[in-house]
Amino acid sequence: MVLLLQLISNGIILGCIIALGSIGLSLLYGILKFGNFAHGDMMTLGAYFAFLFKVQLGMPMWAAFVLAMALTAFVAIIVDQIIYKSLRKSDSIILLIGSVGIALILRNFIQLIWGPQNHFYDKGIQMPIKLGLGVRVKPNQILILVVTVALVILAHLFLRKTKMGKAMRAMSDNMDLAKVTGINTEQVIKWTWVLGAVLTAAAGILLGIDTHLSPSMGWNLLLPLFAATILGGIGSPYGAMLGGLVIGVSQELSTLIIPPTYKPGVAFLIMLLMLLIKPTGLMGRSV
Amino acid sequence: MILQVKDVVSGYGDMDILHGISIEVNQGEIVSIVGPNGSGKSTTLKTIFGLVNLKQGEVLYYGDSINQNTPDQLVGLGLSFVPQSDNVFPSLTVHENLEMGAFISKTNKKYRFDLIYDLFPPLKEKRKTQAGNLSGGQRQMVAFGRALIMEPELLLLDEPTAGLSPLYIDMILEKVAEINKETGVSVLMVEQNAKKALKMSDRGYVLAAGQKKYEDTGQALLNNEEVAQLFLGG
Repeated sequence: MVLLLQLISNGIILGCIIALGSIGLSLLYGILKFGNFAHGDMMTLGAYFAFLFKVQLGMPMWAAFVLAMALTAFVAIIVDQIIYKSLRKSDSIILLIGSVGIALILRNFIQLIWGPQNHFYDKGIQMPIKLGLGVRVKPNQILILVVTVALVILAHLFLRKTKMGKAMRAMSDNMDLAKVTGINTEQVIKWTWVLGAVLTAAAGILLGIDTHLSPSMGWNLLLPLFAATILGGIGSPYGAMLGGLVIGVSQELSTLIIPPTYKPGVAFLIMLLMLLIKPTGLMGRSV
Repeated sequence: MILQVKDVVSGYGDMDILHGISIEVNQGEIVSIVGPNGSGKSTTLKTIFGLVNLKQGEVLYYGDSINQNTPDQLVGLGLSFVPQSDNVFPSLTVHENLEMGAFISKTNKKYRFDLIYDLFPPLKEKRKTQAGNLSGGQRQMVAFGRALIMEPELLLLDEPTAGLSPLYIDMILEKVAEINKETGVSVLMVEQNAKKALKMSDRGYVLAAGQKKYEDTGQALLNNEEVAQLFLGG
């Protein structure tokens, strides 16, 4: 029982990180109609930017967090303008393959600058807090939960209340109509990259806080990210949040029955089952 | 003259659909384009709005060429286009659909939402409903509202009654006349219900196979026996 609750609690933390990454992945798919395979490595980039500001430049964590998100968004826009923009009129498979290339470039760039070894934001051990019923969490994990909830609420408000957020949803509904309506689609695409990059950078930083930084940290999470996106209904940011939590908790709970090494397989299995049973996902409209 | 389409040749890829079409719309007019399926009616509207490749000829708006303008620039100039199908954002609410119509406006002032809700009272109580959950006729109202929110000077309507029940067909066409009368917007409309459209139009064009066959006042086209036999079903 204690173990069960402990695993659910760990799963929620992992789910938070996956959810943050999936929201952007889903939004980008909805608007640009391609699966961004570089999303995981953008997550890594965000984590290393925070390492740069926090550890290498000695800034406070909150400042490093914000600056890293901003810098990741900046890189995303640059990559979009240089690479994706010229590919936009081609088939979406070309964009997808392009993103695989960008994923490789980002990962190797990170390895070149910061090396292949693991890094940490903080040295030292955190004493876990006992939550009752024998469940223990690290203070950092509470921080992860709070930051995720705050960011998800902000993303929600952005999508629901701002003109740009509404235009993103409109473009995700119908790109041609958005153009005819007079929506400046290129401007909206830039903002979509900003939102996606900010959230995925946050996910990377939170993952770094929970465990450690390594050049392949985001790439390793790409499968769960896609699984969460597809589970929630590809193109639906709200589905992605839900999908992230489900994947996170299922991965952790699976260790009750199968060896932990197979955790990513669980995400893959859920993704396959969802595609077989309800390809539109939990909250999706159509694929 | 608000719009002048001069000897336009246009089409998709290597295929030409319009073979030298000329059309005019005067200030405040309702002009209908009728003709059989595949005659290039919709393509004419799409060419004006820059959605189909213009290969030869010119489109003039108040005498200035708009061949090179992007759709969002055209909206800024006072043109507005209601596509035939999929013309609302289904996951956005009715009100958000209207807001998107005013996307290019820099000032976030209170747009003429009242005007739209006065024109289409059923929308007012549904303002928070997702457009995807509305009936076909109500969706058409939303599409009209979205196109009218910026108070355009020229409204392009692509088969506004397509797929609607007979009840809504008359209602929507009456609305077109009402909007034209009350706001003074000029209307260029493509319609399948040729007789009904010509009856309410100042002038009309009959297209066939990408060419202009007839051009006259709406009433004269209705009375023209040849047109009636060939294109209006007797």
